Amino acid sequence: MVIDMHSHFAAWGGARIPEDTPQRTLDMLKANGVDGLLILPLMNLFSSCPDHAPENDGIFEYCRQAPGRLFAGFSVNPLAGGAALEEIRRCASGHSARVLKLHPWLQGFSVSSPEMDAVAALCRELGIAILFHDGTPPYTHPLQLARLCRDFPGLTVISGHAGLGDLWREAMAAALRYPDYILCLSGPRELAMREIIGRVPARQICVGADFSTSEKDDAVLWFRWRSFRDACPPGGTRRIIEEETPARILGLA
Amino acid sequence: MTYSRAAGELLREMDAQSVSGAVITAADRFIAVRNREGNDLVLTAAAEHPDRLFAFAAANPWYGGEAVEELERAFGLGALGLKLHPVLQGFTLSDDIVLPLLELAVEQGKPVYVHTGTPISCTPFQLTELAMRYPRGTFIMGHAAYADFWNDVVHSVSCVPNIFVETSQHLASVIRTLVEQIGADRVVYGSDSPLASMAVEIEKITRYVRRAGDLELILGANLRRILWKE
Repeated sequence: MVIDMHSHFAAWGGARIPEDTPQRTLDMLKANGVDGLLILPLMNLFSSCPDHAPENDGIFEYCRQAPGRLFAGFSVNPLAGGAALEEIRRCASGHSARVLKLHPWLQGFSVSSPEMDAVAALCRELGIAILFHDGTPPYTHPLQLARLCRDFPGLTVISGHAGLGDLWREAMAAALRYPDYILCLSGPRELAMREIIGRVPARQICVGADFSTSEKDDAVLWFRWRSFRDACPPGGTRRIIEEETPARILGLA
Repeated sequence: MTYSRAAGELLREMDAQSVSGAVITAADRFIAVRNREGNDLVLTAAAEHPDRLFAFAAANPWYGGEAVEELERAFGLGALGLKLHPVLQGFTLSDDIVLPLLELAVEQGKPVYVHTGTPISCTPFQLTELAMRYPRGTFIMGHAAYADFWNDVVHSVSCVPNIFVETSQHLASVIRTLVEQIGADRVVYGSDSPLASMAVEIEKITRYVRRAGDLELILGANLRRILWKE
């Protein structure tokens, strides 16, 4: 099962269009040769968000309508301290969520803050991977995120954009340094992706479109997957990237 | 990562995608330090294929007067524009060291292509400031400030008439938004080949920008206007 590992619920600004249903999302995936989707929050990523549970629950409900195809991620703001830890426990135990999404510069925290350490320690304990926005200074350099792999061995850290267009070399260095550092190809273009795929083990690579379920069409979804498949020919490596790495992270393997 | 691209290889990719012409520049070390060597490579390729390849010259502002001399030489040999890459060349667009090169380009009526989108040195509003300072100049915002400056592009381009936005690297949805909000007459197709696939870069436009008139502008007419005032 080919799984897209980076998408968002609703649309930028929080609006959800009436046409946004699980079935519509599945249809868009199918049209682009993708079978499954990890859906992450969007509104929760803004630092002004006072309460993360409503959007997290909205995603759980959305994904419940397509079991085995749509997989819910969730978010908290580490600066919320104990409330953030409580929400992580609730999402993990009550909803079997496996991926926490964090966006340090939107959420206004540093990965090197003590609050982040508490979140990382709990995620490692619960077997939750953390998918970070990355690729843009000052808070989301790949090697900033990778220090969590050093300090919390066993924690899976996903570079949500594999460094984007400017920092993909740094993302590659992080992945080569730490085996639990995963690169989600959602930013580097074809020549960079070929370089990454040629040097980083496929078990550390996945693909994500970074589209939102309430976008008016599949423009972003199409673009990312068309670009990836241009860079990675069919075969065993592509299968690991498209299927096996996501399945392992989501606990399906 | 090292890569190279010979003119023949580029022309084959262009033929496969029905692309008739392309602006070419030297890359990486040729932009950063070995400007003359890189300029000679692209000028030679353009001279061998004058109907299809159009050279933009690179000059690193840190070379001062030597950079101006090199740009003047390249313009004299047929370069149609100046390519600036603040990241590779180690300056910010707000630094006055770039001004002598801009003044020469503006004086000679040559467009200036700028890599944009990488903080802290080449952001959309930094380019807007230069465009305001040189209202007779023509500027091209390379890569539409990919990635996370997409919020700024419309505002930074709308307030000046002399910036075009080049499409390579960015998302199909962002290009469509630019067409809707700043108009197709300000958007110029670019592939960034060989770093990105020319096929993908063209399809992302033709798939989501549907009006034939808009496509004509983006895929050719705007560039002809920039290069030859057509």
